[in-house]
Amino acid sequence: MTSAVIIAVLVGYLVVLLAIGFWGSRESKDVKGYYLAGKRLPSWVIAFSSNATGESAWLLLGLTGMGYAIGVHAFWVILGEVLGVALAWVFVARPFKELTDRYDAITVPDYLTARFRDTRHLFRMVSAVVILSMVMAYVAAQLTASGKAFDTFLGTGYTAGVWIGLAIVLFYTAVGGFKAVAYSDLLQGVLMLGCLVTLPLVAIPAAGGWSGTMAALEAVDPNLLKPMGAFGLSVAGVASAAGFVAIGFAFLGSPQLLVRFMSARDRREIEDGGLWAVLCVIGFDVGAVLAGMAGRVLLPGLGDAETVLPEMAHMLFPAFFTGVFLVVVLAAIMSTADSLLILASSVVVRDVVQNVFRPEAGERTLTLLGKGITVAMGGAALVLALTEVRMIFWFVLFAWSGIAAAFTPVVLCSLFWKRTTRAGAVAGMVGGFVATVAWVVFFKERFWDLYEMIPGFAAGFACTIAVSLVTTPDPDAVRELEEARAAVGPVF
Amino acid sequence: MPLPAWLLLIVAVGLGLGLEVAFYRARRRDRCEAGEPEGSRGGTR
Repeated sequence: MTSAVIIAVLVGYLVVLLAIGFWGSRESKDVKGYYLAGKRLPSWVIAFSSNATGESAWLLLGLTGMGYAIGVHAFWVILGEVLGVALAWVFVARPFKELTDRYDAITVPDYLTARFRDTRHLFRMVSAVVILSMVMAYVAAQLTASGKAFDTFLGTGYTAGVWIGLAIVLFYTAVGGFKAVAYSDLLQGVLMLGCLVTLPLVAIPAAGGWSGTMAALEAVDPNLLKPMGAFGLSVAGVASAAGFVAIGFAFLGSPQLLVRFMSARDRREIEDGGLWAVLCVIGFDVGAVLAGMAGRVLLPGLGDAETVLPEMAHMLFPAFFTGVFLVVVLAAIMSTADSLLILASSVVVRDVVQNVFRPEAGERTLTLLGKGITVAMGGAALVLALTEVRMIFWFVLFAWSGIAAAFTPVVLCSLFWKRTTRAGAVAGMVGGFVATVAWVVFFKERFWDLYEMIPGFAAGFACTIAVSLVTTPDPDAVRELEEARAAVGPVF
Repeated sequence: MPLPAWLLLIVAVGLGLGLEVAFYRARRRDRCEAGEPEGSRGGTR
């Protein structure tokens, strides 16, 4: 009976996703339609879509697990993510939208190529290497989460869970393109928000109310209520807090998030969407951490902290809502996987095939190729997910960091520092990406486990600035940037 | 919850939200000063 109810909820959700896929297919007849929904999206869709894409299964399973394991110390993640989202919408989105519209850019490498007059396609090739390598790992981790979720909730077995998750994502992504991805993200973002706001509201009273929960946490481990956690005010504590804050700064320049700004109907949609986005991420993150903290009281001694959300769903809610929670976990997985697959597809089709090797290819051919690439990337991630069955959220954070460190420093310099040159930007992309990988492989364990995004960003900015200072920017590019900044006007 | 934890939570939420609210109010003020009706669309395509 319980399984039947859960399956009914799940089937209802999947039917809605498939309908969105068919509906979005009307927009995906050409390259701009397939990858940017024809630049016609309203503010609230962009806001929920960017947050749902940015968060992934890490939010529901990873961040609730952090609340469970380290308590108040996880508030540093909230600081970074809320600030990162706000800074992105207030400072980055409007000039980025203005410039990408002027260049008629469809992808972030498109924008960088036009902004820096890159006739040799260096940005496109470097971007392809960074995005394809990181997206593969990122999507594989999401499929791993899908396999675990289906197996935990419905007992399908891990392999079947991976296949089911991939089949659904591939269908609506390949058929419906970016429009289906964005609107399914909206649905998924609303579901995630509802779940993460409801869960602590039910769990905290069940754990003895606010005071009772805090007293119980104090009794379990006083460090759970300290901002610097078990580290105290030490170098390791500061490194840990800084790493948590840094997670949110990827919102400032990751291409899978920046394309949301490019897809906006106009600049005013961006001005209106920021408040939605910030309120949404506050609900996501505060809800996840508080739910995890309440879970520590309700379910002490869990072997794996990252199972606290499904365990609490089973414990606190009837079967129908257990089905809803399964749907929400899948929503988080799918909203990230779909966006990454379409990002990887856009890099291959738009940046490599259309602009480097086959400029003469027609729109229909390219759109079909894009759908094929989406399926092929999903297949490659499937192979990885089936051979690597561990839940690897550190890998999600690594891929999140690798993409962000390659793009964010360069995108920020390209928008706000007119002295940035083509050579500087290429050096910044390579430097940020290489530093991220090198930090994880050679240095991380020896330096307080400092999150790789910090050295990645530092190297990205340092390389961009140093090389730009010894080279000369294109005067036309400088003039265009000044015109665009003037058109956008001051922030306040 | 101890005071330092409350302070961290308030700063974590308030910093970004305050920035966004200030931006939103500034844009609304600009639109009012420009006489732009609520339904009209500025910016570029």
